Amino acid sequence: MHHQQADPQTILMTGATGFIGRELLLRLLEDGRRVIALVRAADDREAKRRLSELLGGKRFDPNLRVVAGELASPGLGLSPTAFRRLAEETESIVNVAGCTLFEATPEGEPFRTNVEGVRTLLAFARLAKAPIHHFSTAFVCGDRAGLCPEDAASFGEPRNVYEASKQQGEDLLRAALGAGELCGLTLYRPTITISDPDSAEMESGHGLQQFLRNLKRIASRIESRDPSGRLPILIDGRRDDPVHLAPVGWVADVFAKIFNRPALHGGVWHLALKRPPTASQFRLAIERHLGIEIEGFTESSAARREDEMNPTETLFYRLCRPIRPYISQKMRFACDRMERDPELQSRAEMPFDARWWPAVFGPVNVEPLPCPVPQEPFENAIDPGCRDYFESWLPERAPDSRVGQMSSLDLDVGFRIERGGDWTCSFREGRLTGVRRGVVEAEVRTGFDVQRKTFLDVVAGKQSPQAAFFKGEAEIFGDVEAGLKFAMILQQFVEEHPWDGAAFEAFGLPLTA
Amino acid sequence: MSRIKPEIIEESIDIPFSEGTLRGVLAYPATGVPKQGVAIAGPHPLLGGALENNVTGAIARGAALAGWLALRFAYREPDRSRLIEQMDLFWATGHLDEDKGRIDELCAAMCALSRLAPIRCIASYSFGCWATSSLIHQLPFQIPLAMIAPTVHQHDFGPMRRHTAPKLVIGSDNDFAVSSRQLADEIQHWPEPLRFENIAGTDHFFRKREAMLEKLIELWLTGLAPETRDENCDAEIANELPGLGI
Repeated sequence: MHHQQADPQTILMTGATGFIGRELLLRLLEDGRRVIALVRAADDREAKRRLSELLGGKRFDPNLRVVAGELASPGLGLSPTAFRRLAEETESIVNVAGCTLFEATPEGEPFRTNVEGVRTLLAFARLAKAPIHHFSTAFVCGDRAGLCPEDAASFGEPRNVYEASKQQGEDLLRAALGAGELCGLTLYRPTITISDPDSAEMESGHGLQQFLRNLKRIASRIESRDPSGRLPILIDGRRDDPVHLAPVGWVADVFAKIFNRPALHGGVWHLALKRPPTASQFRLAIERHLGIEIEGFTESSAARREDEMNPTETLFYRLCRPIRPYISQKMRFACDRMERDPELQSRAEMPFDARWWPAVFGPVNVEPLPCPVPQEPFENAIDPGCRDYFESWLPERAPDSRVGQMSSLDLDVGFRIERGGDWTCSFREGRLTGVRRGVVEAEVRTGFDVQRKTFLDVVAGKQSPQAAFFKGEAEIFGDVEAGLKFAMILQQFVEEHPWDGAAFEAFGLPLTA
Repeated sequence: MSRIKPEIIEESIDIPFSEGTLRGVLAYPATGVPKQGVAIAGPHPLLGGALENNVTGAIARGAALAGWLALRFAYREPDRSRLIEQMDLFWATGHLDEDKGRIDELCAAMCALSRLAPIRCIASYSFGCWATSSLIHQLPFQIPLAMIAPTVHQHDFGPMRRHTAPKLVIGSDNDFAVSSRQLADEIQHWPEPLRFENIAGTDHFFRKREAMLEKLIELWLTGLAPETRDENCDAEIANELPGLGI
C-alpha cells in the first residue's frame, strides 16, 4: 500500500540490489516515491530482471524504473543523452551502493565504488542540482575509542582499505558541499546491519559471521580431541564493550523517517542503537548457539601479538584477520540527533532483542546453507577437509569473491571426491546460491571426479584445476567445455581465497578423522 | 635447461613482444644442430593454453625427436584488471575480445624462432589452429602445417582452403569441440597434400595418447619433403614477420 506523499519526488537510487538497498527501496516505494534504480547490468531489461528477482517476487511498483548503469563509470555508464535526461528528472539522490571488501583488489575495489563512484555521482548531482543522501558507515570513524560524536571534525586512522575508502568518499562529498557544488548532503552511518529476525533471507556477508564460523571450525576440531569442548580462546576486548548491530528493517525505518522530513536533512546521522548488546551477551549467545564454552576476554583494548597467544588463538586470529578490528568495538556512537527528535527517540532507545541473535548468526545457524535436502543416498565417505571446504570455507568466502560479478555464470556443478565426499554447488548470476551434499549427474551441467588429495591441493592453490585435468588427475563429466571453463573460474576463486586447511594441521588439529 | 627424455633438451626463453615478453620453451635434440624450426600454437589461454599443456608438449617432443627445433609459448595472460569481465564474456560466448591478439603473439614467437632456425612448419592445437589459419595468408610463403583438433566448428578456417603446403590433421573420435563428421566435412575442402589421422578412443585432450601424438608428429616431420626454398627465403621470413602488421 502506498502512503502517498504530498510531493512524491523522483529519486535516483544506487545500490538497490544490495542488502540495505533493497530494504530502502521497498520503503521508499511504500511511501509513494518515484524511484529510478541504477542497476549494474548489460541493458535495462536485464537490470529490471535482476532487481525483480532480488526483490523476491514482491510486487513490481509502477513508481519504480530500472536503468542499467555503472556507478563508477564515467557518466554512470549512460549515454550523454540518457545522463542528461536522468539528471533532468532527478530531484534527490540516495546513494546506498558500497563495496565492503576489507582488502584491495586488482580492479581497484573498494576505492572504485566507494570513492570513484561518489565522484561520478557528484558530477551527476551538480547537473541535476539534486541533494545527495549518502550511506556511509559508522566505522568511518577509524581507529577511535570512546564516544564518537556525529559532528566529529576528523576521522581516526583507517584500519583497512574499506574504512579508508569510506572516509575518502565522505571527504569528497563534504568538499563539494563546502565549495557550493552540491545543494544538499545528508550522511547516514549505520553500524553492522543484520537481517530482520523474521526475514527468510539471511545476510551472510558481515564480519561477525566470519568470526562465528571460524570459532565453529576450530571448535569442531577441538571437540574431537577434547570432550570438554572448551575453546582456549580469549576474545579481544572487554566484556562490557558494545557490539554494534542493528536490523536492516530498523535502519530502513529510521532512514525513511529522516528522508520524509526535509527539516532533518543535512549533516550526519549515526544509525546506531543507543544500547547495543555487550560483548558478554554476544559471547553467551555464541556459546548457546554452538554448544561450546569460550575462555573469556582479554579485558584490554589492545590487540595481543602472536607471541602472546596460544596456538589455537593464533590460528583463530589469523583466520579472522580482516575482521579482527570489529571483534572488539571499543568505540560508542553518539546518536544525539535521534535522541533529540521526538519521533526518532524511541527508535534510538530500542533495546537489542535477544531473539535477534539467530539473524546475527545467519546461515551458520542453518545446515549448512539454505539448500535442498540431498535427493540421493549419500554413500561416499565425508572427509573433514572436504566438508570444511564445501560447507564452511566456500559459502563463507563466495559472497566476497569477484567471481560473483560473473553475471552469466549460471549452473549446477558437481564434485565427486574419492574418499572425500560428493557435493553439488549451484551458481546463479555468478552468486553461489546453494551447496548440497550428493551429486545427481542428470541434474548438474558439469562436474569433476577427483581424488581427495588432488582436490585439497587445488583448493589450497598448490595446483591449478586445469593442470590437474590435463595431467589426468581429475576427470570432467557432463559438459566438458563448461567443466574446463568452470575450472578456470574455480582457479580465480582459489587465487582470491586459497583454502587454509593446512593451517589446521600445522596447529595440530588434523583434518582427517 | 633440462632433459625430459635422454635424447631431448628443453630450455626456457623469453620472447620479445610489443607489450613485454612471452614465456617460451625450446625443445631440441640432445645431439646435433637442428636445421629447421617448428612454431607451436597452443589452445586458448583460458582453456589450458599454458606451457604445461600435454598436447603442445607432445608436439614439441615429437618435433625434437625428428631433429627439429620446436618452440611452444604461453599466450599473454589476460588483462588482470579486466579478468572477471573477460571470464564472464568467455563463459557466455567462448570468445574474448583479445583473441585476435593471439595471432600477434604467435607471430612474435615465430619471429624469435626464425632467429634460431629457419621455420619450416607451424604445429597447432585446438584454438591455436585458428590463430595459425588466420596468420598463414599473411605470410609471404606457403608453410607446412600440423593441426591437432582444429576447432573448425567454432572458428573460421577459410584460409586453409587455399593453403597448398603439406598438412597433417589429427582428430579424435570423441571430441567435444569438433565431431569427426564436422572435421571431415571441413578438411575435404582443404587442398592436397593433406594427411588425416584419427586417434580412436580419445577426446579433444588426447590424455594418455600423448605418446601416439608424439610419434605421429615425429614421423610426419621426418617425412616432410626437403625444403625447396633457398636461404634468402629464410631471411625473408625473419625480416617480414615483424612487419606483417597483424
